[in-house]
Amino acid sequence: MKTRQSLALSLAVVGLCAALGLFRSSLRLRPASCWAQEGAEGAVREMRDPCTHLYDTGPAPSAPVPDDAFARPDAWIEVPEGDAPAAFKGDAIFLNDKLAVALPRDGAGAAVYSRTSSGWQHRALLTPCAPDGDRPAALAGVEVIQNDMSAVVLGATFATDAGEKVKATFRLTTGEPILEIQAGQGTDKLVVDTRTRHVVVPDFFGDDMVLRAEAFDTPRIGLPTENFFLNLVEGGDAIVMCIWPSSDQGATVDFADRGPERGIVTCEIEWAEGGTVWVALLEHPGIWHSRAISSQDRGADIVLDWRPPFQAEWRGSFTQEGPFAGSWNFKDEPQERHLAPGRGEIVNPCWFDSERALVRMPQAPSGGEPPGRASSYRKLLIAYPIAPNRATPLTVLCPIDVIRRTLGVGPCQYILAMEGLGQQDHPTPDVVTEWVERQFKRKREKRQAETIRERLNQMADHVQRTQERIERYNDFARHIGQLCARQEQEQGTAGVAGELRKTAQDMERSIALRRDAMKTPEMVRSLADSIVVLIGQENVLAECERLGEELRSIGAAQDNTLAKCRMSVRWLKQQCRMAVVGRPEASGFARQIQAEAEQMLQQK
Amino acid sequence: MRTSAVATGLVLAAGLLFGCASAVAAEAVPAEQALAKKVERIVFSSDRSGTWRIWIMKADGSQMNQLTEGDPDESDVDPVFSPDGKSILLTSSRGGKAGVWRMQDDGTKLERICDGDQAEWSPDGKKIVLRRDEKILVRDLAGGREKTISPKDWPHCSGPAWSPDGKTIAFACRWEAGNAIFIVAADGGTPTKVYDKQGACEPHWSPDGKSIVYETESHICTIRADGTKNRLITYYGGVQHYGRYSPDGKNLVFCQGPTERGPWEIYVVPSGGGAPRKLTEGASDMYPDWK
Repeated sequence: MKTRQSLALSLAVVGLCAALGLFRSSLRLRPASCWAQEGAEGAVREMRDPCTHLYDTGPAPSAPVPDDAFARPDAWIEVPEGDAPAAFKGDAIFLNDKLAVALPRDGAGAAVYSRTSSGWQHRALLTPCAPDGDRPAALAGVEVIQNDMSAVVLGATFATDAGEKVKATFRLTTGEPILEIQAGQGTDKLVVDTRTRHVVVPDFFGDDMVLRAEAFDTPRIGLPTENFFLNLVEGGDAIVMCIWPSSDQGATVDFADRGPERGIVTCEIEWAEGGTVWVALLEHPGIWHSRAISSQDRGADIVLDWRPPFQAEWRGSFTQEGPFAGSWNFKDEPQERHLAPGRGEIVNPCWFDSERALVRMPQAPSGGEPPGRASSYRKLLIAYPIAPNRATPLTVLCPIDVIRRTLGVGPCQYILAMEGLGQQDHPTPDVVTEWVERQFKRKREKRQAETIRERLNQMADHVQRTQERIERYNDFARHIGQLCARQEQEQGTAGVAGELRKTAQDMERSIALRRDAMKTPEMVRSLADSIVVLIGQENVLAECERLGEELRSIGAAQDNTLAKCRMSVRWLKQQCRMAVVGRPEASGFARQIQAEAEQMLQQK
Repeated sequence: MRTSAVATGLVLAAGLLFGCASAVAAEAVPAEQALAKKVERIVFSSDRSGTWRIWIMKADGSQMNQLTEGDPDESDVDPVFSPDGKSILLTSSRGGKAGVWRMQDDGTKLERICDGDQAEWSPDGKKIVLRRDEKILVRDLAGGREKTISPKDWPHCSGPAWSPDGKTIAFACRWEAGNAIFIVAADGGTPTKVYDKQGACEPHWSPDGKSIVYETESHICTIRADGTKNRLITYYGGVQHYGRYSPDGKNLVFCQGPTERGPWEIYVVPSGGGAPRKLTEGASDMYPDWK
């Protein structure tokens, strides 16, 4: 929740935040030549009238949307601002400068088009469905709820073959490539048909998940996501992003038939009356890119046949067996080595230089592979934008922008808070020790003595909380293992229970493997006390740095363990979703474990 | 400050770390040549000298000048031109406590007025409205008399803005359910709600008094004072905050940041929406006010 606050409070955190050394990476921007289409100014020139318009196409069809749709084509009749016709003679179509949405009179869904440099492109068909899962057969009526330059809101009623009514409200606002759909009477889910190559579920603590049709045998899988996912649309120029507010809403994807062109054709989001789903179209030539990686590429610098089309934070995910990927943000330095939240010390394998985007296929991570991907043969590198930086053109929306815009700043920050132990707002060992070392280097440790003590105390508390979180994961893994062991005795659930128990055991093993490196919170307090003792002594910078290194190492081990645990629980949730869909005999047990996994993930 | 404490701190921190970068149009200008009168100017707070200070520039972003200096541990923010453009109100932590200060538009004659922050002038320049202890007060500048105009039992009031006709004051209030913008008579009374969705706050009047520019959690919007004609003006990526009208009402100046934590750059956009134009970059610049 946002409000103005007192300057005094603002100023109270100045020193603290200055110490954190924030925004270093985001401010270090690439030279202009790296970017395929450069800068905010150029993009701004492309901006058109962002206002919303509503048309009745009359006898003309809405599809394909003519290139000059924005210039009010003669064949269509614009519904004047404030008007609400009793009925549409043809298709209802409403648009802004980025999206066009058509409700065809002979269709049973909303066709969504994106404005591209080559005209309007069909990107998705959105179909509200009844509880029986059947798609409606026809559009039964359209009601104009709002029609002005700031927003068009239409209520649509669809009818099934059985005569059931399915209602939904569609809302498009000025200038945004985001369509809000609210479920009305008789709805149970929203079906999103797209020409999707991959579905990505980003994670802001551990690795992302990339779902590829070829990685699964089943025709349908449950998506291990809580609030959103990205459909990477065939061709690389569009991402269809689906967002919803409640983590109780599940999502699934359906695969097309087998074959070389096997892809993802449909996503479904659970959606009860009153619920909201947003569909955002992120459109830009080259907005995502994939490149096949072979085992011969291991260790070599691979120059991608692609440059990012705009400045932003870009993520590179190396797919593996199963849904998990190894995900890294593209950096500005080759093979940059640094401490990353959730990963410990890593060598970053994705980077930009002045002209190119490069990757180096990462080695297997230390500490073994996460569960569900024992064979870690990387097949594909997929690059996509994740967040804006200060050089990102204003006209570009990144996934984080869409989350903030749809769910709000608070929920967005909650999602970004990762395990509730996010780096920016929390006194992690790397953040605190680096600040403390700076004070010693600048010979300001005496003046800052009180703040140093306070910060080190906060750090020790943070380590304690993190350890407690890890122990909760450990208890959870043991609990799930015991549940599964019992169910393995039951016919019908034995197979699923055995698979889930293996994941739980893997998680316990991951924690056990890292216990030595994580030390204990008591040890961290002792090391912190040793730093405090150095204040006022001469020539102690080296000792301060040594202690800092030890603390950072403990923090990295904790981060790494936490990331492994989180991924394990996500994988467990994914396994349960797949079991619910594909193995009805074990669906009750799978739902129980799924609910417990979701609860574990939500407890930050 | 208008966002969360942490957000503010992060913005400030970023500024402290990178505050020495130059602005788009920054150029050293001798004090004696500084900014001729009747030229439209934008006053703002910036960390480009390493500490949050008040800066001024021409409305096209050129001739940037630092107006205040001081102890590195003390900051100056939230500047507002007086109606005649000769004086500037600001909030400063000078002396260790946030207070409302006033100075000439060349940075001279800096003087403390009272405790509080987020101050704005009355149209005749004889009074100010400010926030203190999350209440909205009107203060007579000559006599120092004060009157609280926000209801006693209203929590978390902020961001007062005096209407051009002097009769009403818009402000924001935060409740458990969210933020809302209200209008109250300048001498107090029962506030009227203007808008209560999307975290609306930070209202500022158009010069003709018909519209209010405000900010949601991430964008700048305008709305009629009667709550109608609500319109999204900035719909860009990142976050837009601190919108204010130009003197002729045709444009809005606002701040753009990649996240709600900044760092911020100042932009101008037509008040009916359209293509934005960047005025500053290279540091964090907030709280623009255009005269």
